Amino acid sequence: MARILTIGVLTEDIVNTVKPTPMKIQRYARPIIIVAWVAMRRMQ
Amino acid sequence: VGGNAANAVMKLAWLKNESCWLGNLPDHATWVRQQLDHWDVDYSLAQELKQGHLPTSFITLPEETGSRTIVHHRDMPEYDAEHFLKLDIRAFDWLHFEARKLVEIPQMMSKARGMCGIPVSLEIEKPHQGVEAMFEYADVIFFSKEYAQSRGFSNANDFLKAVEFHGIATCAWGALGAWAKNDFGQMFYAPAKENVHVVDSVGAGDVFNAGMVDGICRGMDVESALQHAVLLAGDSVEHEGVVW
Repeated sequence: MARILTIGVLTEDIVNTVKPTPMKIQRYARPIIIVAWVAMRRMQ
Repeated sequence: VGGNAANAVMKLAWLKNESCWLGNLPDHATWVRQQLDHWDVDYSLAQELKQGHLPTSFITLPEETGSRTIVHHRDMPEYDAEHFLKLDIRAFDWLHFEARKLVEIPQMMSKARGMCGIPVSLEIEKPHQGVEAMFEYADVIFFSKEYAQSRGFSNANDFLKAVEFHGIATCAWGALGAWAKNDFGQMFYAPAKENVHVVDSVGAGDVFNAGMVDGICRGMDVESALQHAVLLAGDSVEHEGVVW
């Protein structure tokens, strides 16, 4: 067993894992946004 | 708990070494003390400060890409040579430093190596200006991919052959594996672990460095220590945190 000294900075890490957007949302989100945007433009 | 030196020391303790951490510690950081106690890391030499807070890293890890975005906040001063030079470090078998933007690090390394004859390793992660001035005080240097790329190299093998350092040097290159050079300039390669399910890559480089130090302290040659370090780093990314 070796006696080892490490010198440096100690931090508090706050890790946030971001999950990918579900495929269903990826598939439908864009057309829904486009339709909504076009509808809004027409209403104006 | 995070930070390069802290991750490395936790892994060294996990590998059953008598491991000590030295740096600045705010006197109110109870949670961190509990963590260090839990993993059997000695921090009795640390410099306790009344001002400032524990540095914090907010790390965002997208599962899809495996990239890392780190927002770091610190208001605590850097650990200084004045405190280090007063310490009795003769009982240690190995000292490991991380190269920071601090002109005092060579002073500390020089004391360890020159006055006490203790082997010294140095981690070079960021391409800080003038970091090369620290090379002469180290027996072993762990270079990062980022540093090699900043010097115009696109692979670790060419970088290690070219770098002007005559001790043991390593350079890990993520999923491609890691390369090392011994004191005689002989090159070694260890492929990364295959079919790894990445859960958390934070600290994998620190685990690699800890594996090298652990291997060399156990009497392994550079090639065996490199294989040992790569395996440990591969295991680490399959778990949350560097110790479990």
